[in-house]
Amino acid sequence: MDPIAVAFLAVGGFGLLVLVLALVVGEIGEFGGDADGPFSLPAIAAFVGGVGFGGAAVTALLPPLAGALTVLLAVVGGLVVALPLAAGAIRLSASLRDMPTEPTLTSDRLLGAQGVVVSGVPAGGFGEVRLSVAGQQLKYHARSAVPLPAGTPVYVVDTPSDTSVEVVSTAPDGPPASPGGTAS
Amino acid sequence: MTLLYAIGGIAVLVVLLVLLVLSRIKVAGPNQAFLVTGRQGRSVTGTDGAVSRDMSGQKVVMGASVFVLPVVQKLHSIDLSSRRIPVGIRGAVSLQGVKCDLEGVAIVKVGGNEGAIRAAAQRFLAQQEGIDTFTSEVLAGALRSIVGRLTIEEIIRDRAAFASAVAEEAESSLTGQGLVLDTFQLQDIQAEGTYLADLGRPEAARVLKEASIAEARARQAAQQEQLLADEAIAVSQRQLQLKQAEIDAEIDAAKARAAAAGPLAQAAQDQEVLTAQEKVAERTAALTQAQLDTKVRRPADAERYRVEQEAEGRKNSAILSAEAQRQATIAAAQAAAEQARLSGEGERARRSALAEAEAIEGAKRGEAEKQRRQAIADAVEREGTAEAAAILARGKAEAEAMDARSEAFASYGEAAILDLLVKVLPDVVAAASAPLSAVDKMTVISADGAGSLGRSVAANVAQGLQLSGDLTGLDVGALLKRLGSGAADSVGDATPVTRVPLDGNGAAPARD
Repeated sequence: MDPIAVAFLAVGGFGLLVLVLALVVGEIGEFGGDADGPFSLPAIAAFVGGVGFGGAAVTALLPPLAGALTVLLAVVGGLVVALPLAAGAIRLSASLRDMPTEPTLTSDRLLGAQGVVVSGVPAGGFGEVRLSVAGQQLKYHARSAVPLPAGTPVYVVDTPSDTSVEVVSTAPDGPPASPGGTAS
Repeated sequence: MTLLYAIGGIAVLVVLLVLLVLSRIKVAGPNQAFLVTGRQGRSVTGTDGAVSRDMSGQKVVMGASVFVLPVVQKLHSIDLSSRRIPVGIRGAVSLQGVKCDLEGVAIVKVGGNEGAIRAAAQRFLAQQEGIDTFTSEVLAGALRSIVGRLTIEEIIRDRAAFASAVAEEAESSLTGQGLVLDTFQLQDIQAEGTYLADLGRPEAARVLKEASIAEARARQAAQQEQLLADEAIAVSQRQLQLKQAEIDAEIDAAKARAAAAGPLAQAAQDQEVLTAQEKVAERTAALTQAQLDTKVRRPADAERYRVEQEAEGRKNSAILSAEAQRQATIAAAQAAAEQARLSGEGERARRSALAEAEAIEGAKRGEAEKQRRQAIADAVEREGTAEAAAILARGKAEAEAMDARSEAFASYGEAAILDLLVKVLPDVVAAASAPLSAVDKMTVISADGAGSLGRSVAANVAQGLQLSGDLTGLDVGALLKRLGSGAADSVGDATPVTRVPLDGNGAAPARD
């Protein structure tokens, strides 16, 4: 076999070896370089592998020529193969970096949520409400300006803390007149 | 070949590139929250004009996937699972001042929203096991505070008040740490002394009373129902047993009938057999009788008839022969009797005559000779007459054979006696005269002369005869007298021929 082709194949094999090591052992980018860009590990490995295997392919296709000319033509062919590979790797990584996922619940999401009182809310004290937010049932401590008995439908108007909400009643006839409610 | 290697290498290179890039996507579990740090937050300009960066570079991901760049980003995971935290306090003082010990359990987890996760991650990311101890201590203090604000009765009974107090404490102590108190439950309350026990005693007593009453009533009702049920069962059993008895009776009757049917049929059959056998026996008897008639009786009758006839014949012949024999015997006997009588008569007469002749031999020898000669003459003279009389008597006796037979026999007896007597008479006379013959010399002194000697001999004979008559019952004297009269006749006739009585009654007086 042509020693030039063997050399190009060895270069391509090195690129493959780097990729396999990165997959099996984990990220080996600790030695520096850009983690997300033209000098990231996938981009470099794609470039090296593309040059190697592309050059080898060119040497196989070319008629026997002078050694230097052959190497030059092979490098050019390798670059033709390697550059799109590297660009593809960079683009794929960039697209996944900003991929859309399930947003995490924040306190702002609770505003306007509707629920029901499960444990009576006394005046000035905490009760318990069950809220339906983003398809899940959540239980929060609740405060209210007026006492609310259990079963009262409520509407969240404020989130004083991560675990408590300020609610108002959405019952048609308003909150019951009894000042202490059932939680007195 | 090289071309193949190259193309293959390029293909493998593409696959490995895709795999490597995709391997940088991390997926959080349902109970996990990821915090990805390392990127720069957005620049925010505050209301006072100061520029700062928010926390957007510190990405929080719950239950979703995130692309983590190597080297420049770092992924952290925090567990959202619930944690069971036991809480126990001793000697807490309630609102009324009653000391009590409480044990409870709290369920605590890291909050489910971004702020809570950030807060919890700041505090517990490297020491998530420490959440339990931190929370336990915080909740112990909170519980003590809660007990101090409530009475024991409220703690036990007023769930809403307790929950409210718990929520208030939790808001102040746990929320700041990003923790959520899902629930808090008391497991045990021990009050000082018998406070709790005394709380329940009235109710316990009331419940006990009601329970006792209810038990008694239930027992009463149960007993009544039991008795009613027993009564119903007894009635039903009685009916059942009655039915069973009826059925048994029917069964027994049917069995008895069935059992009797066989013997009855057998008896009827036996009866028929016996009847048939009886008929056979009758026929057999009739047959046997007929056979006996033909085989035995008729020959027997014939034999009997024959024997009878023979016997009759023999009897007649025997009768006839016996008659003939009898008549011959009678005739022979009569003849013999007559012969004997006649010989006796003759002998008697001869002896008598001889004796008389000898008695008077001495005195009347001469006369006797004369008379003998005279008698011979008379005898010759009357010989024809005697023979005629004998012939006559014989014919007469033959004519009267039948009637004279017994008398002939009787006469034979007397004649014999007379014969014997006559034979001994000479001896008697000799004996009577013996004393006289012994006299050598005899002198007779008697007025009557020597004739008294003869009288003495006669007196001796007479006395002897009298003696024998007394002894034997025979009147010898009468016999001799009759003999004497006969001798006198014969002496008178001077012949020894014996006279034979013609009628045969000549001896009858001797028997008298």
